Amino acid sequence: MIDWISALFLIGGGFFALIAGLGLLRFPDLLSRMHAATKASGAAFALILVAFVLRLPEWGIAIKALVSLFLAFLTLPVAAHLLGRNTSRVDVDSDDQP
Amino acid sequence: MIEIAYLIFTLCLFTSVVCALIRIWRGPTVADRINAADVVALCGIGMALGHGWVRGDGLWLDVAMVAGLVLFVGTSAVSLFLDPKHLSSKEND
Repeated sequence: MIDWISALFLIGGGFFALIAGLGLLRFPDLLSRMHAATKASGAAFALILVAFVLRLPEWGIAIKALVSLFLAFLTLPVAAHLLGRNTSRVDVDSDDQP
Repeated sequence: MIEIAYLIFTLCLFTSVVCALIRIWRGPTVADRINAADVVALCGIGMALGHGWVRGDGLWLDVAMVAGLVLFVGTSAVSLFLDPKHLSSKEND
């Protein structure tokens, strides 16, 4: 039973990663592409870690997954913020037709 | 059942990597390419986690954590290298 739930979480993580890739390909603007890539990647990472902990239910793995999730949620928006902040000051012409 | 879920997961991540590589190829700006490379690296981390998931091996969680930290250092370093003073040739103050 718990393997089914874990597989469901893993497929959900893959689905969010697919959404990140499609948004990165199809969105028209630089900042919206950054939005799609960062948020959907964070959600995919969280769902894959939940699937991992449900597959191997031990305390050490749960604590390591929690630390990894905390670091990812700390570092992913910081990296995206640095990128967006350094590019929003330059006049980029970021409109290609999708 | 486990193998079918792993197959669907790997196909989703493969499609995402292909989309990000297309974005790297025809990205208009440098920031698009950095962002797409970030997504490619995150899909690699996801593939490592999926491999550990299907094998039942907890070692790949450490691999994913360290790779995530190195990914953050790389992305922030390249983003800081992308300083507007170096990019805009019009106003140098």
